[in-house]
Amino acid sequence: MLFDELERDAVTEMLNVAVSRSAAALSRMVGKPVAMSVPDVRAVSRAEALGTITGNRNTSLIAVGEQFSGPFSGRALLVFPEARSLHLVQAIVGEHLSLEEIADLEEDAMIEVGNVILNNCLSGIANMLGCRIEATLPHCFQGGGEQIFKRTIRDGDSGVILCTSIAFSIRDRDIGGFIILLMDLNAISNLRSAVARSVDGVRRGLPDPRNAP
Amino acid sequence: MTDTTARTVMDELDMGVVIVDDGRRIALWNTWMVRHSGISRRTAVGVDLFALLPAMAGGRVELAVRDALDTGLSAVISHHVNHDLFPLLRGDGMTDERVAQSIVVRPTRTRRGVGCLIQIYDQTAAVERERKLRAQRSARYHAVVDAARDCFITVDEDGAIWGMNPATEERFGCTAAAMQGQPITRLLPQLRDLPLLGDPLVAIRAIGAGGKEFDAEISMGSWLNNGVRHFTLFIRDVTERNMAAENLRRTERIQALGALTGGVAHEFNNLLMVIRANAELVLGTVEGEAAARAAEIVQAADRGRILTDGLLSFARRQPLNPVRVPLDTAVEDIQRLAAPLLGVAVDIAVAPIPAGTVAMADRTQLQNALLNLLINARDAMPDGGRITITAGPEPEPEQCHIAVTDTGTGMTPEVLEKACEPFFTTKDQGRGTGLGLSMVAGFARQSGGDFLLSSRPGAGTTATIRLRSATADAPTDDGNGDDTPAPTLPPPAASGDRGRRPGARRGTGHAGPWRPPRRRRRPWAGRPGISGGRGFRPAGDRHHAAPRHERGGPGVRGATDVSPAGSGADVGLSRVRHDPAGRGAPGGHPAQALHPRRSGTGHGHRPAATARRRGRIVMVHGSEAVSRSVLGLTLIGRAPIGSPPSASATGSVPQFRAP
Amino acid sequence: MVTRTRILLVDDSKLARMALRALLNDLGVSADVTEAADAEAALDLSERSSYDVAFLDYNMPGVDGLSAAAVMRARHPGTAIALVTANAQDDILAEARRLRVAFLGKPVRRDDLGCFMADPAAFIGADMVEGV
Repeated sequence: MLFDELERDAVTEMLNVAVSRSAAALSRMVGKPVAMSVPDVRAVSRAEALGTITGNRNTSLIAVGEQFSGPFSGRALLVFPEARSLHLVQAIVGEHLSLEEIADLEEDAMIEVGNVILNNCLSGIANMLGCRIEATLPHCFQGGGEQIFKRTIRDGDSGVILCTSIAFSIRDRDIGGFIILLMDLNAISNLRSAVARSVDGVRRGLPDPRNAP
Repeated sequence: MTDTTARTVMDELDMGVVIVDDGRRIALWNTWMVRHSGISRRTAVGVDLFALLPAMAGGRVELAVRDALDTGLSAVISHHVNHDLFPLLRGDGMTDERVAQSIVVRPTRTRRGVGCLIQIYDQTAAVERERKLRAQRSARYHAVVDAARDCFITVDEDGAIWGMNPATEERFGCTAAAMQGQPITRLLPQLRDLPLLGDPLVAIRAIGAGGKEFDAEISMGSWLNNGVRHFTLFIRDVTERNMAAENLRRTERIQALGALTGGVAHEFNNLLMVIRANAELVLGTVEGEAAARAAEIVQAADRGRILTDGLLSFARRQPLNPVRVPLDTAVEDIQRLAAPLLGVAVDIAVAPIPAGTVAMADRTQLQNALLNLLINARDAMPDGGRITITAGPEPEPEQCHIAVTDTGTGMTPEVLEKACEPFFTTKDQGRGTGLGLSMVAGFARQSGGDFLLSSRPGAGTTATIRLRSATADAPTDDGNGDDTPAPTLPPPAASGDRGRRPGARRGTGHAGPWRPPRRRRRPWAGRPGISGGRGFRPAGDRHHAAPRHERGGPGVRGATDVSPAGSGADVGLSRVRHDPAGRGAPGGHPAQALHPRRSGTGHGHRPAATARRRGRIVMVHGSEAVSRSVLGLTLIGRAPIGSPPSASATGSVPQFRAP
Repeated sequence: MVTRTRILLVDDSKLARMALRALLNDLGVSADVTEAADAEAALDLSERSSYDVAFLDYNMPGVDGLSAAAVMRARHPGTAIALVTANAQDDILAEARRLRVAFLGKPVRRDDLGCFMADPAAFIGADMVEGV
């Protein structure tokens, strides 16, 4: 196990807060409630990570990815089934545009949507850990899960990946997707340190058990 | 690069560049920004960006700047998604159009530490270009699709509707705007499983506007747009096509049924013939109860014959003898013939028939057909009503029609559809064979015409027989001899006596033309059967007949299509010759006999002797009563069963005609 | 003996509960704190006893915090309830206001918590959007 129980709890909570901000941002963008799952944090193999990205379905996907760096580095991905992405974009830009018009600006819009969601998530993490996380401009990937995976995870990456997926869906819209954070072992160890410092900070703030009634 | 050089480059850039420090104060405001915002560098520099442009506060740019400063994140911001970007005008002196902008926000460093770089790109030209391209593209698309009468629906991989053409809106009673993004299953629930769309062609029963069902044939094309697969469904209404195919299937079924029943009826008829002939022989030699029983056998055989005749008529195995039939006289005849059948509650009216309307048809069969129609009309009006007969030329050249209209109960579409199928009847069990209309239709078709039924429940029925008009050189009724070739090819010249007048037939009966090989009537199909059927024949006649039958025994059997024609002909002739009814009808007009009210005064046969009971006519002729089934009238002039499909002499009609 | 404030702390994250306790401690709040790791456990607790203050995480496995708040509000109209989440969606905020539930952004700021503890009623509907 890469994390002890409290560390794992800390990472999950950190992502929960981060993704909650993303959900709130997305909700503001589409003007509709957004439901989200409790984050699922797992250290997985490449194959398992691929399964998470594709959702074990053979549909083509659209992904917006950012590379982040700071105390720990990795890639953040927002993944949608490709066909639904247009409806997401439509939900954001409004109903006055036809889906055909939206198709023309789809990539622009998806990049921005992904950007907003991922930045909210990353800034949430930075905020929680009290650190700075820099991120590149977002890129848009389209294709099968395998293709996206190859373009977002280098072959040189070590065998274990921290993969967290959060499913979210926009009510009344039948639009759902995943936020996936991919980190390699080195990044995970750095994340551990950051989390540990944060946990220590919390512990220090707690009342001394000896003083408790 | 010095600061000055950097400033110069920034000012030369054809894009907006703004740098803010960690307090969001503007550190750099390039010339492009001055030009498009109308805010001078002196005003801008040192001021909080969102205090300078309060409309942007709380918007996407501010959040991005915050993320860049606080966390180090970058952002792209598109005019497609946001409407609260920098308030910039194009400022080209021609329009005051706002700049469509895409913005990149990223963290940077300033002399004082963390900062944020904002780059603003003018996308207005690109937007315009895109708009034009889109317009061109969609103009081409819409030119094709909007004009199409078939439905076009575009869906994505998930089956969500993207668009539809006006034909679809009309067909399904919806609007493209309302259906956009909705699942295709809202329109076509059968497509619930999208893999179905993988089939090249799908046939379903769809429900269109107003709940109107139609047969839809769906074919599909698939295409990629920005890497996303889409499907275009082409939906065609094939209801009519399917209906035509169904009609064809039904026709084929009826034809097959016809072939089958024809074959069976033929064989069965041969057996009946043997039964009847033998029963007649017995009848001629016994007295008392035995004779009555034999008469019953003959009678039963006659009824069987009536049935098989119906079947054969339906199967179109009845050779016809088309002659010139003036429709006015034909209608007049049938009116007289049928009047007693119709009862007092039924009015019969004949619309004036244009003189010279002459059909080319088998006179007897036409009479049978009309009689069938009249009886059907009567049965459709249990409480009485009016029957109207009309006849005249058709708009199409060489065609004419006779129509019988009643004011009766009419038929539902379901009944109407089946009305001409054999064995279909709405009458009570035992009251109808279900063959009447199929026979009429068979006769019309075989005569080169057709038969039409139109009806609505409660609005009566019109039955129309359309026939070919007779050409001027077509044979007349009188001139049609036994050597008449196939029905469609009347003989060039009449020969022999048609036998309308019994006397005349008797006179010429021995002549050669009466018996062309294999065209003889079945011996019992003529008057003897009729007269003998009820056993009312004067004993003397039986005595006459008996020896012929004795002699003609083999001929009876031989009167099938495999027999030597001669013997059958002999029997037939002898029967005709010896027929008491024919002989005993000096000047007797059958129609008059049937309808004494209209008969002349020359006959002593009174209405008292005419009765109708349950579909049977009792015809009184002289002192003889001849009881016949209504359908039994088809016996009149019936051609030999199993003879080649050519016309043959009909011997019995003359009974009903005055010389 | 002074009656101590009874506090119910509901969050699926142990760290989050720890953090909130640390903050309360830092603020000098002297209280009996009961913890629950999910909404159902919290509802069980609230059935058996009443609390002066309840902190509920929003995004938890199973029943979400807002739904639990609705039940608790019905049971104990006097309890001061705060929804603790970073998920500041308009719909969630509106529902919280309707239930007279305060909204505390995550991670919780010391000052916000202090204000809430000082005057829970005044905090409801306050313009607390994001815990940045």
